[in-house]
Amino acid sequence: MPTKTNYRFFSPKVSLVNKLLWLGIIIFAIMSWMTDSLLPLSGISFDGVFDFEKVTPAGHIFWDLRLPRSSLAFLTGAVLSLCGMVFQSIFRNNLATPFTLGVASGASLGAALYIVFGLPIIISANLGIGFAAFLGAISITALVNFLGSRSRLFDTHSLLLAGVALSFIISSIIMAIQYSSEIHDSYQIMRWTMGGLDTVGFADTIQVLLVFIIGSIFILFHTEELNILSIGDELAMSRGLNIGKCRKKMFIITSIMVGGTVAITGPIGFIGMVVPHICRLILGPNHNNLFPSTILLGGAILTICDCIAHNVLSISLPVGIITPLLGGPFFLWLLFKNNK
Amino acid sequence: MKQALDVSNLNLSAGKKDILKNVSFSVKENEFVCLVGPNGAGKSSLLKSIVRIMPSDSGVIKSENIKLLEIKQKKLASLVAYVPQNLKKVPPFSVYEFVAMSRFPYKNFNHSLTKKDLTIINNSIKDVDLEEFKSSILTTLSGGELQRVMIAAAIAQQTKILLLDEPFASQDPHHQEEIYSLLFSLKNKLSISVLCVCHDLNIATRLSDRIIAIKAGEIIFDGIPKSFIEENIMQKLYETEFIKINADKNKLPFLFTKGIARE
Repeated sequence: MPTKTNYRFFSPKVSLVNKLLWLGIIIFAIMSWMTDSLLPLSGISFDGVFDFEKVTPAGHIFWDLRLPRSSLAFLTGAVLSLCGMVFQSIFRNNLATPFTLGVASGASLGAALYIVFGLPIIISANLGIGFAAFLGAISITALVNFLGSRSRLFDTHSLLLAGVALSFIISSIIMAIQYSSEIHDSYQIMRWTMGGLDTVGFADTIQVLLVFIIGSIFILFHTEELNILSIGDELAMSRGLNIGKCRKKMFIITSIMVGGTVAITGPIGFIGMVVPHICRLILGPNHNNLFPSTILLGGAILTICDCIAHNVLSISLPVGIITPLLGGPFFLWLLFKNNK
Repeated sequence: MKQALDVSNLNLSAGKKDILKNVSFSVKENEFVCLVGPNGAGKSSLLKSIVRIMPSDSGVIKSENIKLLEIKQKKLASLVAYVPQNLKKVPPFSVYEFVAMSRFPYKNFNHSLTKKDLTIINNSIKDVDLEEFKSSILTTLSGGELQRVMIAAAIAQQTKILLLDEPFASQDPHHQEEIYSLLFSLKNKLSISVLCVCHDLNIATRLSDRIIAIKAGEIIFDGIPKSFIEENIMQKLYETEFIKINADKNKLPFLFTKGIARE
C-alpha cells in the first residue's frame, strides 16, 4: 500500500478518472464564464473590443456591461455555494443553507430597511446596503444560534424548522415595509428580492470579489474543522474541536459573505443547496476537495443560469427566477435517484 | 501505580433528574476497567462527561494533575480518546481520511500532516488489522469493521486514556470475538488505560482488570471481576437471579440470568 505524503488530495480514487474530473470542472468553469461574457456580443462586430484608444460600442458592451456581469455571476455563485457548503457541514443536513435557515432573509430585511430608511451619510449606497444586509444576516444568525444553544445538543432538525419559520416571519415584514413605502423604494425592494445580476462597471463586482477573497481564505484555513464537524457532534468534540466556537466563527463569516453578496444581487436561492450537493456526490465528503470544486462549479452554474436568463427569452429575466427553475427539478432528480 | 484518571464527586443532572450522584473512582495506568450496570444507570453519561460532551454540574476529573474540566477541548483530546456508541451516521470518508482526522489535536493550523502523523495513522490502521481497507469508504464497511475503524481513530489520537462506549453492542458473535481479541491485544501492546462500558457480563469479567458497577447514578461496586461474581453483585445490580456455569475450574464461571438458563 503506497503511502501518500499528504492526504489533502488523497481520495480513494486518485486516478486518471479523478484528474480528468478536475480538468473537466475547470474547463467547464472557464467556458461558462467566457460564454456569458461573449455570447451577447454576437451580431456586433468584435472589432474594437481590444481597442483602448477610443470607446467603441463593442468595447463598451464588453468591458462595462458583459465582463462585469459575468464576473459578478461567477463570484456570486462561488460565494453562495461556499456558504451552502459550510452550512451543510455545520448542520450535517443537505437542506441547510443560509437561505433555508433565514440568514438570507435577514440580509434582505436589513437591505429593505436601508432602502427605505437609509442614511445617505455612508459613502456609497452599495456599501450602506451591504452593511445593513450584513447586520440583518448576523442578527438572524445570532437568533438561530440562540435557539440552538437553548437545547443541550444542537438539534439540527428543529433549527431548520425554526429557520423556515423565521424566513416566513421576515418575508411578511419585508412585504409590510414594501407595501407602506414609496413607489420607487417599493419597486427597488421588489426587484431586489427577485435577485439579479444587472450591473454597470466593476464597482459591484469588486465588492463581491472582496467578500469572496475574505470568505474563501477564511474557509480554506478551516477545511479540516469542517471535515471534523461533518462527522458528528460527539466525534467532533472527542477529536478536540470546540464545536460551539467553530460554529460561531462559521456563522460570522457566512453572514459577512451572504450579507456582502446579497446586498448587490439580492437573494439568489438554490445555488447554495444544489452545488455543494453535486460536488459531494462526485468528489466525496472531504472539504479539501469540496472547497475548490464548490467554488468552480458554483461560479460556473450561476454564470450559465445568467446566460440563460439573458439570452433565451427576448427580455432578460432576473437570474433569481432561473436558478430555482433549473435547480429545483435537478435537485428532485438527485433526491429520488438516491432514494431508489 | 500512578493514577491515569481520577474522578471525584462528579454530579450530573438533566433537568430535574439526577443522572450521576457523587461518583468517585480512579483508573490506574495500564488498567482495563469495565463499567457495568442496567440501562439508564448513567454509564454512557459518565464517559460523555469525562470528554465534556455532556457538561457536568460539579466534581473534579484529573489526569496526572491536569484538571480535565478546565483545559481546552483540543488539549483534552490529546489526553483522552472516546469511541461513541452510535456509529450509524458517518459521512462517506475513506478509512484513511477518517483516521487522519484524529491528528487534529496536534495541529496548530490547517497544516498538512507531518511524517510522524503519517506513521501514527498507518500504525493505527495496522493495529486494528484493517490495512486492506485503508481506502474503503466508511459507509461500505460492516458494523464490526466500522467499530475497528473507530478504535483505530481513537488510537491515532495517541492518548493515555481510552473510553469505549459499548464496543460490543449490536455485533454478531464473530465480530464480538474480533473486537474482544483486538482490545485484549491492544491493552498489552499499547500502554493505555481503558474505561469501557459493557453490557455483556461474560465479556466484561474476562476482559477487565477491574469492574465498576453503576446503578441509578451511584457506584455500588468497585473491585476485581472475581469478587464481582463471588459477591453476587450482578443480582443486586440487575435485580434478577443469575446462575453460574463453570466450564473450567481455574477460570471465572459464565453468568446467565436464571430465566434464560432454565430452558
